[in-house]
Amino acid sequence: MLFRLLRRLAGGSRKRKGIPKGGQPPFHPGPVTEEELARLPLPASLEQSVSLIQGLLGHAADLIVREVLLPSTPPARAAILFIEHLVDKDDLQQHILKPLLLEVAATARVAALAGRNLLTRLVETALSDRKAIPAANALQATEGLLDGDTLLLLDGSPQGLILTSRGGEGRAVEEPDTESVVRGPREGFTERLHTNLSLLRRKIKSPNLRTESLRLGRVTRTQVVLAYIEGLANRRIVEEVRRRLQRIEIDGVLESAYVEEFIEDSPFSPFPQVAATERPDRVAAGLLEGRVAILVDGSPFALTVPAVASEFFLSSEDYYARVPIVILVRFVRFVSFFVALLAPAVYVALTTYHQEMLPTPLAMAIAAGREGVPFPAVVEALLMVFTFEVLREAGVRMPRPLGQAISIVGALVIGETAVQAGLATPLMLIVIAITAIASFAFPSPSMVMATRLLAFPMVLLAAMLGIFGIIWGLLAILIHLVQLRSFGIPYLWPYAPLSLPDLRDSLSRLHWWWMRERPSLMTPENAERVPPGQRPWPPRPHRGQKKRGEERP
Amino acid sequence: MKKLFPLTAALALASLLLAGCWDRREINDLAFVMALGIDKGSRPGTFIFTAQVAVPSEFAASRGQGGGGDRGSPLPPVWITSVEGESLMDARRRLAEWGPRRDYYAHAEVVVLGEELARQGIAEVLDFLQRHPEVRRTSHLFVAEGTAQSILQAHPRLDPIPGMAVRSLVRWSPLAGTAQPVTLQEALCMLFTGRTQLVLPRLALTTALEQPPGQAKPTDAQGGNTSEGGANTSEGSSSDGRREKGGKGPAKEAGEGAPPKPHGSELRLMGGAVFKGDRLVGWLDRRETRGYMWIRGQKHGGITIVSPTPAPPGRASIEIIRGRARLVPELVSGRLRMRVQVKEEGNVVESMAPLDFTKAELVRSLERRTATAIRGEIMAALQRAQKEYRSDIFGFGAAVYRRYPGLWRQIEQDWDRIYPDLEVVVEVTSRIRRTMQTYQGLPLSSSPPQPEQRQGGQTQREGQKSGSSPHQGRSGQGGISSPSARGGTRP
Repeated sequence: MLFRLLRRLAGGSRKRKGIPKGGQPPFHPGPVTEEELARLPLPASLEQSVSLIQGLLGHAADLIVREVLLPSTPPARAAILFIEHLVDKDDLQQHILKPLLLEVAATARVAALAGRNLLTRLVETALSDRKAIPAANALQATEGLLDGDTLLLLDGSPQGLILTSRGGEGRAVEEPDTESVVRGPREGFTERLHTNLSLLRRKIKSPNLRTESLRLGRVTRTQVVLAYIEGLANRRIVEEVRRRLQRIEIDGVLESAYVEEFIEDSPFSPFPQVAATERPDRVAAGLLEGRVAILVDGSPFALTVPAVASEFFLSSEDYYARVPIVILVRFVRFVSFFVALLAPAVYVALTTYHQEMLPTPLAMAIAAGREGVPFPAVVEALLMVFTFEVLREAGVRMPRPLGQAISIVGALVIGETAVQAGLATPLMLIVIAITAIASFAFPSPSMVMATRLLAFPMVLLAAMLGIFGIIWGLLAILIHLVQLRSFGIPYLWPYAPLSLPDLRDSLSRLHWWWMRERPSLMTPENAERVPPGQRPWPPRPHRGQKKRGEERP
Repeated sequence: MKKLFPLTAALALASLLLAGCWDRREINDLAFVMALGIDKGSRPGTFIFTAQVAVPSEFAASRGQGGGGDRGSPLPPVWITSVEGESLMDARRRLAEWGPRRDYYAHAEVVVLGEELARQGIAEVLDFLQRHPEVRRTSHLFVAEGTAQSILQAHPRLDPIPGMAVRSLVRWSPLAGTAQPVTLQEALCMLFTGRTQLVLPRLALTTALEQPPGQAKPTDAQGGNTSEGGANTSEGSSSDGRREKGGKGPAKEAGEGAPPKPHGSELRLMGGAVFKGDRLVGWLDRRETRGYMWIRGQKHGGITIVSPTPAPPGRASIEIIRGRARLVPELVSGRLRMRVQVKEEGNVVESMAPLDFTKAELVRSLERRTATAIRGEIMAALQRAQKEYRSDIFGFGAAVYRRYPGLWRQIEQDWDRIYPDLEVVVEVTSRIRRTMQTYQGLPLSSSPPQPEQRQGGQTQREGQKSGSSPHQGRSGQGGISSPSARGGTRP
């Protein structure tokens, strides 16, 4: 029966490839679907199952098959299959092969065991230091192999054993380039899912941290982990995230951005509705606030949802710095958002419509600078904004040493000479420079791009309608922001709808002993985060003891 | 149908953009008028419209060179143009005949009205200014001594653009305390209600150097000070000079009759121009302007020089830091009377004698004398405006209206007749707050090289001519004898 299925599977491809019949031809099942794999059981015969696996993997060059003789009584034939560079070779040697070949004798001598019984005994004894999953069908076996695990096949057992041995080349845990901090943990996520998960686990040692694994991508079979803290995360949001993740059907998921595009609420909005971060501490903080994290194998960027607007103005360092400083820093970021969005537009509006709003000497200076400039202020502004975008893009894509050259060209050639050649006014350059710097002041790259994108229509509106047009544009943006949702959470929360307790961590941040409640919309009940009465006080003086005591919150 | 909606909405919204651009004008297409001068034209009913237009490139160049003395041209970076027209708007539009850019008034912070025009009436001018959206209500109005055109042609050195220089003059005028700036808005309010008459500051052209002693009165500008110092010290003497009416004395910058000194190129604020209705009726000199400001002014400043004792062993300068006036109309047996209560606070900023300000009686005596001096200034202003010009610049009418609206309705028509004979009681309370960084005057040398020496041991300060000192003392004494002057009422 099994062979009938195999023949059926192989039949098409043999005809196509025209492999001649006769002898024991290599087994070529051709492309198989997941369902077919799941329905395909592993044969009990060692040779058959090895050749099945080999055939399924297309006799891959990096698939290593080692047949061994386990020194049990009676000796059992076994095969160890792994993909060469996906496994940690030392680990394989030390903790799988060695115990199998040396220790099995001692443990399996007691009773003559074979097949499946031997397998269970092995798991209990020689291989007890690692995760071992029995693989009953071809799907489990191939998936394990491709994840970098080792497949142990035993003659006479219709089950294989997947032994975790993932390893191989990979990036070490480094400080992330984006979101760098002065104070705070310096580790960042890597491309390896299990490393990332361990980073997260190290931060949150709670039994309530839930991780749910699923595979996305019909071809890539990328492992995706959904993480949240039971009891803190809103059950309905978790349910919704799970539902949206499970809906995804795509060939491949190469970066968490793929996932982001499938699960965000408004795909055409310029504003990001899913927060992506490279920092484990940031994800941990999100989990503690009741958010759901999504980690994708192969991407150092973890996603957290739901995301609200104010979140994109935060840096994780905000929570490590002193509160008065944070108040200033967040204010600066907030202002720089508007500067990045509006500065060129305001310049255009003021110089072409509202000259009365400029201080007189400034008006003189601008007028003097624009003397002989051939373009109207709009064209000038668009030209310079566009030039800056080109420079920025070139600087990002270029290899580092060339990037330096580009910034020199940008600063000197475009800046200095454009003014001398009368193409732009010095003030316009200052405006562009301020815009550029302001757009780098907030930590989320996706929000930066949103402002950059919106700056163009704002300039056009300013050119046509002046300040009135800018107000128009701002209103349009506001209306859009107000109707945006991220997994059911209003994007402008906690400003609109206003939630006073949650304002403690929005435009500014208060001390930890003051932010006593978790975000009200994320957590199921407005659970207490910090018990009262923890504000630090100086030691009580001898006199007036009672009075001080009463003042304690 | 459902798909059409977003398209239609987008088109509808986009059509709103068609309303744009119509008033677009680049900043370099504008001629920034920094100051506006309006004079009477050659024929009745015509105006001469003078615009002082900043030349941005020259302005930027002058700034770029960093204010160094060796600028290429001594001329200010402005282009001045005058046009005569049948009406103001006519004249203004004719500017386009030779101005290559659109004239733009939003940065004109100064409007200068020619003297002759002001005597004819300024209602038409104010209507023009008010009607125009570009002209700021916060721009300041001035009356020129002579023509506005000549004022706009001044070229002050410190601020390259004359219009801005005048604006800055106004800003620091409280230091001298002898000019009350008036914005267009305030002037319009006064003209509309009509219960308070207008006083505009007066602008004149002078030189920056005042004459050294020997040619003029031997009073002020002792060490060849700048005009600022001269203005401060001349306060007392100038008022002395004004006391003899008619400007007989060689008072440098006073007197409506006295012809001005040969015109220099420096702008100077010189007292006020009194209006009745919309017509200029006369000038107030410095001292009278200060008297006027005690009642009307918002910002107080300036120096009052007083002697602590009647027999003057020395003088002290009091700088006014705060002042407040209340006008209380009273009905005394059916007759209307105006009580003017002025509260003043000042600092001792100069002591020309070894005075010990820790002594309470000395301070109190100084306070009394300050009050007397202030009262003198107020009386001078009252004399001039009430008796001579018969213009209610103090807002007595408004005070009556506020307190007795019914009565005001009855006497409103007759106010012009009632006002000159209105009894005014002036009460001044003066306080000295600080003596600045020391509380004692330095013991002065007992043998100064000057002939007149009085009171053994205590002498005038070196270089201080005695001429003004007794004057000052006398003016103080004169005040004290008046029954209604009150000294500091320290509890």
